[in-house]
Amino acid sequence: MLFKLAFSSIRHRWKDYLLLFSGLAISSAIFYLFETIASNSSFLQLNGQTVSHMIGYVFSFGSVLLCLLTLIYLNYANSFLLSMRQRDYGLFIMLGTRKKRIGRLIWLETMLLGAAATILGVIIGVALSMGLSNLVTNFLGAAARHYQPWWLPAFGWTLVVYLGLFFLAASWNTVMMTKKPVLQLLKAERQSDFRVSKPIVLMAQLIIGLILLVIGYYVMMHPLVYKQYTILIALVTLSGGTFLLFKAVIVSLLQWLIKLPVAKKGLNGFTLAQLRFRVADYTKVLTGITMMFAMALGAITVGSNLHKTIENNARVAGAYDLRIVDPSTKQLSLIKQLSLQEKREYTFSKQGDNLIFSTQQFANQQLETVQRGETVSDYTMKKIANSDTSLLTLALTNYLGEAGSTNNKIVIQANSTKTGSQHKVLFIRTNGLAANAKVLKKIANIEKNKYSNTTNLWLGAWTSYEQISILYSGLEFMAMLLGISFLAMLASCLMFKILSGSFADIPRYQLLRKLGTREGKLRSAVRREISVLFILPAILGVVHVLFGLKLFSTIIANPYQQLWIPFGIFGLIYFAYYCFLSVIYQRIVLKKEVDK
Amino acid sequence: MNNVSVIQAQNLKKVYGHKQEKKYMALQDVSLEVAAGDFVGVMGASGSGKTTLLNMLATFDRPTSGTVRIAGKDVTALKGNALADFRAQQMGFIFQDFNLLDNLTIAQNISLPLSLQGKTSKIKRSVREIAESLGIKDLLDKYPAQLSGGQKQRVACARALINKPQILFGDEPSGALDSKAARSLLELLQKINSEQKTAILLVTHDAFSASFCRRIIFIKDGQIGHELVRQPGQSRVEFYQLILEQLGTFEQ
Repeated sequence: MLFKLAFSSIRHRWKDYLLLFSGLAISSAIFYLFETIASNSSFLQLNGQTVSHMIGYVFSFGSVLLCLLTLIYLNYANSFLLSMRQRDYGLFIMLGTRKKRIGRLIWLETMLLGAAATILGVIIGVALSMGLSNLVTNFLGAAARHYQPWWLPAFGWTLVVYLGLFFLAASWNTVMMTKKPVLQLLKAERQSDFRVSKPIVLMAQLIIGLILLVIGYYVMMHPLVYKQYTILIALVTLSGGTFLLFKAVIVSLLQWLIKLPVAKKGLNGFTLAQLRFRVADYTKVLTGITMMFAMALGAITVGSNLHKTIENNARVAGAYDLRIVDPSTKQLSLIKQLSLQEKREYTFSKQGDNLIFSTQQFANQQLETVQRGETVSDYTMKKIANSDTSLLTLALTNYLGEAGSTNNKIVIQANSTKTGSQHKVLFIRTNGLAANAKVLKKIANIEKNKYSNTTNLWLGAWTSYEQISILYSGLEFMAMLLGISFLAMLASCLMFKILSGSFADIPRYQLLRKLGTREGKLRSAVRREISVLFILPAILGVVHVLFGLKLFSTIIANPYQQLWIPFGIFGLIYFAYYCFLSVIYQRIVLKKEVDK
Repeated sequence: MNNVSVIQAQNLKKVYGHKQEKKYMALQDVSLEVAAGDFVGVMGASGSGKTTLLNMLATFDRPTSGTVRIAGKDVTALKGNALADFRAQQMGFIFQDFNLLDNLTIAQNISLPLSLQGKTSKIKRSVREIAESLGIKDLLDKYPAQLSGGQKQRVACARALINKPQILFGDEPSGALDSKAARSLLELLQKINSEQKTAILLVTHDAFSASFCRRIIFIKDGQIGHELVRQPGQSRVEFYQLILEQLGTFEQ
C-alpha cells in the first residue's frame, strides 16, 4: 500500500521527476564522456604529452574538478528531491507508518532513481561520445586516435562514483527524514536567515578577494614561470577570489540598490530583496557556476583556436608548401588549380648522393625561409641572399635531404655543371594550406609515389600540416569535450539550484497576484531575478577566460584572435538556456489557479 | 451610513467537479449586499461554503453563474491586467497565515501595493501614516520573522489598507492569534471601520470574532440561512450571546 502511495505521488508530479531524472542522466552521461578520455591513458599520452605537458595537467585537474562538481551537483539534485518528497513522507509518518518502513521506502526510492538515471546516462554517454568523435573526425579529416566511445573503465568509474554517491544520498535522506519531527516535514517552509554583514567585514572580503584574483591572473599570464603549478594556483586563487567578491560586492551593491528610489518602483523592491537573500545563499553556487562557465568557455575557445593554429604552426615549419622534383604533367596541371603565392624553379644535377646547384639561379629567384619570432604566430618570410651559401644549403637540405632511402647532400657552387643527371625542382607556396588542402594532397601523393620509402620524406609545410592535424585533432576533441562537459554541468547545477528554490517562491508569487500584481509584471520579475543569476557568473567568467587564455599562448598561435566566434556561440547557448529555465521557473512559480 | 453598496452579489452559484466527475455544489443561489462602511461577518461550519463565497467576492475564483459587483463594477467579467489593477486599487486582504513576504522589511511589505500601482512618491508618507495609526511604527525596519503573530497581522492590515480600498476582506484573520492578540486585532478592525469608513467582510467560524461585526450572515450547505444585525445600543457581549444562541439552533 505504501509503495502504491509513493508511486502515485510520483505519477502526480511526473514533470518534476522527469526534470530531476533527465538532469541526473545527463550528468552521468557527461561524467562517462569525460572518463572515456580521463581513463584512457594511451589516448591521453598520445594526444596530451606529445604536444605540451600543460594539457595533461589541465586534464587531471579537470577530472578532479568534475568529481567535486558532481558531488555538489548531486547534493543539489538530492535537496530538490527532498523538497519535493518531504511533505508526502511527513504525511505517511503522520498516518502512522513505522519509521523503519518509511526509511526503507526513501532509501529504495533514491537508489532506484539514481541507478536508473546512471544506466540511462551511460547509454546517452556512449551515444554522445560516438557522435562527438565522428564530428571531430569530419571537421579535421583526422580521427582522434585511440579514442574509444565504449570504454569499460569509464563505465566502471561512472558506476562506482554515481552509485556510491547515490548510496550516500539515500542513507542521508533516510536519516534526515526519519529524524526530523513530523511537523517540520509537513510544514517545510524554509526560514530565511539573513544577517547583515558589518562594513569592515565586507571591506576585508572585498580586498582579499581582489588580491586573490590578481594573484590568479598574474600567475596565468606567466605560465612559463610557474610551470605545472600554474593551473593549481589559478584554480585555488580564482575560486577563492570569486567567492569573496560575490560575497562582498554583490551583497553590498544590493543593499545600496534597495535604498534607491528605483527600488520602490513596481516589483523592483521585491526582486531586489529576493536577490539579496538568494545571493547570500547562492554565493557558493555562483562561484561554482562562474568557474564552470570560465572552464567551459575557455575550453571551447581554446578548442576552436587550435583549429586555426594548425595552419600557423605548419607554416612556421617551412616557407613552401611543397617541393616537387621533376614535376609530372599531372602535377603541373594540378598546380594550375592552386592559388599560388610564390613559385620557384631551380635546376640541379645529381651526382651520386650529391645534388649540385649553381649559385647564379638563387640570385635571380631568391629562395625564402621562415624567420621565427618570439611567439609562434610571430614569423616573417626572409629572402636568402645567394651569397649566403650555408643558409641556402640548410634550407635546401630540409626539402631535399631525405629522399626515400638515400640521404642527399646539397652542394652549391658558382658554376653549373653538366655532369650527372639533370633535374628540375619546383617550390610552391599557396595562399592557405587548409584552403588548398584537396589539391595539395593529390600533388603530394604523386610526389610520394616517386619514392619507395616515405617515412622520413618531408615535402614542405604541407607534410607538417598533415602531421599536426592528426596531433591537434585529439587536442581539439579533448578541449571541445571538456567545454561541453563543463557547460552541461553548469546548466544542470543552475537548474537544480534555481528550481529547488522555486517551491519556496510559489506562495510569494501567489500572494503578489492576490495583491493585484499584473501577470506581465510577475513574469518580468521572474525573468529579471533569474537573469541576474545568469549574468553575474557570466561577467566574472568572461574575465577569467580573458586572462586564462594567456596560458595557452605557447601552443596556440594567437589565443585572442577572432574571439567573438566561440564567445558568440557560447553566449547563444547560454542565452537559450536562460530562456528555457526562465520559462520553466515561470511555469512552476506562476501556476494559475484562478482567472484563466 | 449611506446606502451605496460596495458589494452586490446576485444568484451566485458554484459547482465543483469536471464534466465527467460527480458534481459538488458548494454555493447555491447566494445573493448578498454589503453597504459602504458596513462591517459584515460570514459565519458557518467548515464545508458550509463560506470560504468559497469569500473567494468569489474577492475575485480569487469565478462563480459558475451569477454576478459580483464591487463598487458598481462587475468583477466576474474582469480579466488579466484589469482584474489585477482592480484588486490593487479597490480591495484589501488579510489572511489567517498573514502572508507577509519574509524577505522584505515591514516597510517594504506595507508599501508593496503602492509600488505595484507606481505611486512611488507617496510611499514614505503613506507608510508612516498608516504605521502610526496601527501602532507598528517601531517595526518598520524589521523582517516578518522577527515579529509576533499579532504584530504580523497588524502589518498585514496596514498593507491591506495602504491603498485606501473600498473593502477589506478577512479570511479568519484572528485564527492564528492568541486571545489577547485576537481581541486587539478585532478592536483595530472596528476602529478602521468606524474611523475610515472602510467596509469590512470577515469570514470566521468563531463567535467571538463575529461579535465585533455589525451584521452577521450565517451560511449552511451553500445557502444563506439567517442574518443577525447588531441593534444600536446593544453591547458586544449581548450580541455575542445572541450569536451563540443563533449558532446553537442554526447548527442543529
